[in-house]
Order: sequence, then C-alpha cells, then structure tokens
Amino acid sequence: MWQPDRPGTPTKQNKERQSNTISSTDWGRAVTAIYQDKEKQIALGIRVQAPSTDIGMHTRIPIGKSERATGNTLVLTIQGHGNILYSKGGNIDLSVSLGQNFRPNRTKNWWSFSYSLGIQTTCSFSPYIDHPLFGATPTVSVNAAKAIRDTIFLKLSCATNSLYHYASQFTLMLGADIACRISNQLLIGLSSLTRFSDTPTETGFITMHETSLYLTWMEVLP
Amino acid sequence: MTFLRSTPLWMMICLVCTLSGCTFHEGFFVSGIDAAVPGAPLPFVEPMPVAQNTTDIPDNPDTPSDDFSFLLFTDPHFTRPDSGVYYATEAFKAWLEDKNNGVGALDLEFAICLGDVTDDSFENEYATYKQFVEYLDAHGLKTFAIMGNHDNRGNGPDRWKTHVGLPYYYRLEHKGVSFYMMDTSYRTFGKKQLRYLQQAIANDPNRKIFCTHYPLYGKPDLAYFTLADTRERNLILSLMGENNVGMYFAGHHHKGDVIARYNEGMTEFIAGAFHGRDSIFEGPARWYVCSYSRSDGTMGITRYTKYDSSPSTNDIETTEMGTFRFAR
Repeated sequence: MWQPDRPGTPTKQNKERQSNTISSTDWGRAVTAIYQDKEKQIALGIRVQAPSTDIGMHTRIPIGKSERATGNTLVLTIQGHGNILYSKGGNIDLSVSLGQNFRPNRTKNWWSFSYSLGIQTTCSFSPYIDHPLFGATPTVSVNAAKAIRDTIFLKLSCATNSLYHYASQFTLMLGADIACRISNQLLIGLSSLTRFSDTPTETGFITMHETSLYLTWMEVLP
Repeated sequence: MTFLRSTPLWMMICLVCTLSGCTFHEGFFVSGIDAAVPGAPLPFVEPMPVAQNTTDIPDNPDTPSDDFSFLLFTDPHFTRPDSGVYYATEAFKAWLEDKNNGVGALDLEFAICLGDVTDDSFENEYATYKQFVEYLDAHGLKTFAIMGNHDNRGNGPDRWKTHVGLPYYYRLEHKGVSFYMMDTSYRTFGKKQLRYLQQAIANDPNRKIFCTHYPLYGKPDLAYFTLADTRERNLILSLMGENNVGMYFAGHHHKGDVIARYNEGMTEFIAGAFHGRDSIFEGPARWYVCSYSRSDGTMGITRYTKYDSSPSTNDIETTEMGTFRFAR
C-alpha cells in the first residue's frame, strides 16, 4: 500500500486476487492499522485467508538525521509475522534489516529509492513434529517510487518479505503498485505481487501471484 | 503537502479474495510441474500417474516376501566439469557385481535416484545417465528417478522424457509400500502436484515414503538447500503425519547424511551425492542401501563411501546410518 510521505515501505493491504501453492478459493479479509509520525512508523495487520491466518507487524525507525541534499536516511526495519495454517501448524518469523532511503526533493513530483539488507529467523511448529523447526535466511528489499503532482504514485519493488508473505529461505517477490489520491483522506490503489520458487540462475516457478485493489483511509491525529 | 507533515493514523479494512484454483500464470510462465502430465485431468479427479506397479519390480525370491532392499543414490551430476570432482563409478560397478556385496548379497530389488542426474540438463549428460541406468537394469536393478534442479534447465524436461522416460512425478508400489516420487526441482511441490498428492495419499492404505530432490528441512543451518515456503512445508509435514509417511528421502545437499527425526515414526533423510568433490561444502562419493522390514515397520539405511576414483572396492567404507521406524 502506498504511503506517500514514506515511500518504499513494503506494506500492502487490499482487496486482492491471489493464487499460491497453499491458499484455497475462499474469500478472506484483512485489517491493517498504520501509525506514522515524522520519523517512525508502525503497521499492524491481520489477514484471514483460508486455509491460513497471518498477523504481520512492520516497524521502521530512522537512525540519525537525514541529509538535506539527498534525503538520505539510515533506517532500521523490524518485521514480525505469525502464520497459522489451522490444524496443520504455523510459523513465526522475525526480521531485522538496515537500509537507506533516498528522497532528494520535496516537490510534488518527488521520487525516492530505498534498499535494505537484513536477516530473518523462522520458527515452524506443527502438531505432527516433536520439536519446532528453526531456520535463518538473509533478507533484501529494493524499492523505487515516483509521485506525480503528489496525486499519482508509482512503485516497483523486489523483496524477500512483505507484511504477510514470508519464506523460510531466500526467494524473491516482484511488486508493482500504482495509487491515486482522491482526497486528503482517501487513497485508492492497485498492486501486483509475484513470488518465485527460486532465485535467478535456477529455473523459476511462480508460486504466488497476487493482484490487489486497496482503499486507504487516513485520519490525522491531533 | 499539509498531510504529508502531519501525524496520520491509517486504517484499512480489506477484503481478500484468493483464487488458487486459477493456475493460468503457472502454465503461462513456466513448463515443468504444471506441464508434467500433458492433458492431465483436473486435480481431485484422477489419481497420481502410476509409473510402475508391483509387477514391474521383480521380487527377490531369497528374501521374506514382505521385506526388501533397494539401492538409493542421488546427485550423480554426470560429466560435471568443476575442479575437484571425481566419480567412483568403476568402484561402484565392481561393488555391485561383487558376490559378497552387490545385488545378490544385499537382496537389492530396484534403485531410486533422487535427482540431478545431469549437471546442466545437456543432451550428452542425459545420455551418460541413460547408459548408467542401462547398466543397472542389466544387473537386475530397475531405476526410478525424479528430476533435480539441474535437470530442468532449458530443454531439460523434454530430455528427461526422452532419456529417462519417466513422468515428472509418480507413485510406485512394492510389497505394500508406496513410494511417492515427487518433483521438487523448482524448489516447490507446486499447487497441482500437491493436489495430486493429497488426493492419492488419502486413498492409500500402504506405508508410504516420499522421494524427492529438495530437502524439507534437515537442520537449521541448511540455508538455501531446502523448500522455501514454510506453509508448504507445514502442509507436507501434516500430510506425512496424517497418512503414515514414515520417510522423506531427499538429495540436493551434496554433503548430505542429514537425519531429521520429526517424531518417532517420521524421519527425513538427506542423502549425499553419488559423485565426490574435494570441497568443504561437498563430500566423498556415496550410495546407500535401504532395507525395509515389514514386520518391524522399519527402514534401515547403510551408507557406502568411496574417497577416490580408483576402481578398488577394498577401501569402500560401510557405515550404518540408522534404523528408522514407521508410525504404524
């Protein structure tokens, strides 16, 4: 989902059309709340999508002051995720990454670029195994965004994680997002997310494809 | 710009529609798993393709009728050009033909290869593997293989059909044990194959064994050597637990010899490569003999290790990897 003053955050909530290895054809629902001030941001959401339910948390904390000329900001990102596959088990993921945001101008036609590198730990549990399974994998996120008259927003991304999508080992997701502000409080957007089973040089297989239509309502706190 | 400098609380209430029945993208972008059975019937309707049935694996008259042994090997990577690589094929052949060791002495009834029969899916590599399989066949061991991630490159899937002549995924049945030969060469089971598997396994009263290329989990530090999707992994673990799948055989991790006991009756065994390489990330050439006892409900695994390419069988090291129990 687009957040115009902090582009590059890979959170995305929506009405979506998705296909992946596990999911059924059932309808699901998601609710996400994002709190954001001038510096930090926290997003918390839940998505029920049979046969699994996901809870996602995403926190971004700037480290130090940004450079005026380039808008260069060092950012610490902490992500948490829980997934329950009903009676089949579940997963808990925790990811910590460090990266930079670049947003050189504050005009209505701004652009931005961000990246981060980090590590993710995963714990899987199941009623059929005696002990939980643990694992660790590197994470990466690269985002490029462009705003047109501060009304239309475009974003391309390549990342290993999103608010609700995690893998136990390194696989990439490609994302594209377009959003339009229809008022100061409403934003409507369309996004697409595609996950591959393996990384380039290996023969890939699309394990998840998701097209999302989302509407965001923003309330300015006093 | 006012709201950009403000402190907003953003709330989203969303509907999520999942259309996993729609597999247009899978068939459109890649060949392989979804193209595995051309013209295949709809999922949930037909059972998994059965490559062979019990009559195709000859029973060994010297063994009790319900017990059997088979040869297990993985990742031969025939004609791999990398430095430090060696093949112990000559010693293996001598071992196999040895009356004190090989087919006769160990009551081997068939062979299973867990993928990566080629190094880069080339024609000559497939041809080399075919020659090797023909050798095994001539010595009474029919070989059943599945594709690895090195076998599906370029025209690899087509060459698999031509040279190996087996489906991409299928089921074997021998003496009351079902072997599910699953294609994870794309580092996933994929939706269509999982549906076949779920349907087939639910109607199968036999003890079951999964044979595939990618490990399910193995151990925590097996980074990038396992299936990626944790939800898929949980689903497979539950399938194993619910349907009496006692063993999950995998390759891919050349160093191999990893044993993960998920519970008393459910074990993953990651085999080491058939070819050897002098590398800290890989290991010596290995093959295995698996012995199934129906009365005990166990699978014993013995490893044979050869540390060089010499034809001598005197220095083949024999190691008992363990005996693993089926839940029931």
